[in-house]
Amino acid sequence: MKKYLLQIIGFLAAFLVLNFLTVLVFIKYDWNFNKRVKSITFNNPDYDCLVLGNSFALDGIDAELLSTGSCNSYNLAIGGASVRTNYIQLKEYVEQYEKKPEKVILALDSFRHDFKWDEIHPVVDFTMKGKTYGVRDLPFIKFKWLFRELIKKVISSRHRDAQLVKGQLRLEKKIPDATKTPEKPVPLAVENFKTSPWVQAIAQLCIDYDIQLIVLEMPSKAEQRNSTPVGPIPVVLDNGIPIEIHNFNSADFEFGLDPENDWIGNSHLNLYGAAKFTRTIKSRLKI
Amino acid sequence: MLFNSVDFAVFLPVVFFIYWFLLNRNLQYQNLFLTAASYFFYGYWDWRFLSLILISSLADFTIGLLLKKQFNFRVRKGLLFASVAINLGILGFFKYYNFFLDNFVQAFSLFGSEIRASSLQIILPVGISFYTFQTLSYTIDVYRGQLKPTKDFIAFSAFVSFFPQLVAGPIERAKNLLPQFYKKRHFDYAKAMDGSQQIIWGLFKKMVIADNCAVYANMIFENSDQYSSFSLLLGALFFTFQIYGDFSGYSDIAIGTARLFGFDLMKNFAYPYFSRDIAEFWRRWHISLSTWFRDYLYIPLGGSRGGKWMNIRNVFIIFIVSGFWHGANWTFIVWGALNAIYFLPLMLSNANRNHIEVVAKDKLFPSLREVLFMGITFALTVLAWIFFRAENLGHAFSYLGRLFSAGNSGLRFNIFMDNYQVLFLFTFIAIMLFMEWMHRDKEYGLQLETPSPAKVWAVNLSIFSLTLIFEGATADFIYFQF
Repeated sequence: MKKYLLQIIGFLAAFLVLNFLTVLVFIKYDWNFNKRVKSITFNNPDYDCLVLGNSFALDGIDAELLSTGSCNSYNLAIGGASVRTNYIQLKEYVEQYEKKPEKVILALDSFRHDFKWDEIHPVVDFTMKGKTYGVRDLPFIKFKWLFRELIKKVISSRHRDAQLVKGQLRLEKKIPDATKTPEKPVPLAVENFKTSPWVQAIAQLCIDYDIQLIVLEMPSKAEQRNSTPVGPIPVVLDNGIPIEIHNFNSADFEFGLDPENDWIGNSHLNLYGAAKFTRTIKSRLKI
Repeated sequence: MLFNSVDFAVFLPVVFFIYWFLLNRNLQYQNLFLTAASYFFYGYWDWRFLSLILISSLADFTIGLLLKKQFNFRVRKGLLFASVAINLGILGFFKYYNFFLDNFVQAFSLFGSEIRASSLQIILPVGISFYTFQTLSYTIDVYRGQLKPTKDFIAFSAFVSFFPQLVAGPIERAKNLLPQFYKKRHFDYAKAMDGSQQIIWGLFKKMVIADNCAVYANMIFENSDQYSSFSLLLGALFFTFQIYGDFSGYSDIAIGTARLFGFDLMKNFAYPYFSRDIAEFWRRWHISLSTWFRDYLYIPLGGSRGGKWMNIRNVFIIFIVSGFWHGANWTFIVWGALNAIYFLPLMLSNANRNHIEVVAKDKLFPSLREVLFMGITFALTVLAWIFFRAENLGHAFSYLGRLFSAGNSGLRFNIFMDNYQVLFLFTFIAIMLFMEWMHRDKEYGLQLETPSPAKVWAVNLSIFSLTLIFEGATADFIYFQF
């Protein structure tokens, strides 16, 4: 019996070591992990502008381009992040670092996600301050999809060749957007912004730290564009805080995106599309 | 409680610890504890149905004792009939009541008579077909004089409710399992290690192969009228591996778990997809059920003794009853009948026992002839599974119709969907087939025979890690519903 128990304990110990090693591999090779670890271990960062959002913002906003001029920027967006995760990221940032950003760009996608979604991104959850760890936090269980991403990097040069620059994930591959804008597009889902407790919490945090909040709707593939003008659209959130939404997904607003060359599929911009979009943001929002 | 749940991951070590460390000096206490643990395991799903297991246990235990004292042939037969009536009565009510009622009403409506009958909202107790057949085997063996009836109700209850195989088998014979409850059990290191390894292999087949295949099989079967022929073929293949991974995976976990407690359960699967004909397939698929039907139905019906036509009749009966055992739906009956039809040419040409040995024994690769036979058998099996998986007969025939006629019209299943997920799945199916091929003369696919503990560790750790990383959406075991 003793021998058996020792084998089981040894097996579990080896399994835990393997899990630990995996985290090290992720920190080195996974963009989300790598970026997250960087962002919580910055050495006195002096960013004027932070970008928050999910994979649409991660790929689609070029923080290096945004930084030309006087607005030193960093793209904090994480693929698959909920707005709640963005709130946690911003809160940690402003509480941890002395210099607060002057601007925060919250780049969202009401055409795809519900902003009330409560899930905290696993990478952020795993690396949060004061986190208590349980069985479900074992990397093999918690980061299943990261393994797939890693394998994709091994087998696909498209994934391998991507670069992380100032937090933006630059993907060069082109997958044309073959969709068409509907004859009668639906309006922008303003309610999604208005009623989200996490958009409200971010707006409140920005007021508390005297940060200018810029909320924008990311552009999508043609078939998901909306009928609302680019704006800015004034909205009073359910907690009474007024914001403006810059609707860059308006069907009426063109800023030169090429359906053949500027997309990477599934409404995500490649590095060429991201550059065009970032220039547009810069000029329209005077960043 | 599901084997692939966190609850079971807590339950198993706790039961193991109490069983071996606190109660190892007293067999009665161990048996009592196993019964309590098994009732807890079953009641975790729905405690109300524990009463059915208790009724079956009490009835068969009592009938067993009465049979011991009774020498009058008629009374003995009456006692056997009582056991069969109680067990099949419960099974029939919970599993088949609505089926018979609906068919009865439909049959009368064909003759213009309309009967109003309301079906009942009956919940099917998990695993009822399994423990009913297991406890029935006890009474029948006692009746035949092949087994001495037990006076130990605790041991008998533990035999009926033994948690590793309670809800989805293997359906143990009383002759094999019950005596194991009488003997003092000693912890056996080699057996426990082997059992642990078999559990890992079972989890891999269930969580990686079956649960991932289920996603795509469900997607295609549920929208079969929209898919192209090739996609429908993929759907049938996904289901073929889903049901194998699901059921044989469960059996591996059950057998491995039982070994941790010092018990040996019968082998339930012997690499059926490497079979060279349908007869061999049925000697390798769900062995505990096939042999149950052989011993308690086919042989009492006369088996092969009454000439060819009698034999054909008996084969059809056991295949159709076996189909009906799986569920109260015509699809299962047709599935059973189809397998009987596949079996027929072999039987008529006396070729049904041509392939007894494992394929390509002592060789690495099969011959071309073996590959061809395995391919044909596999294809026939895949076709039959379509009936097994379909919602009803209409669905099965329309699926088959489209499979052979739709060509490329309709949706084409994209194997690059979901970020390479399907490609990963094909890789894992290949890993499973490779492991099982390499160990096809062993008890299970991961039974490594290497003197190097490092190799064993590396393989086990890899399979266990892959299981956790690539598990599909957790789903109930398919065979729970039977």
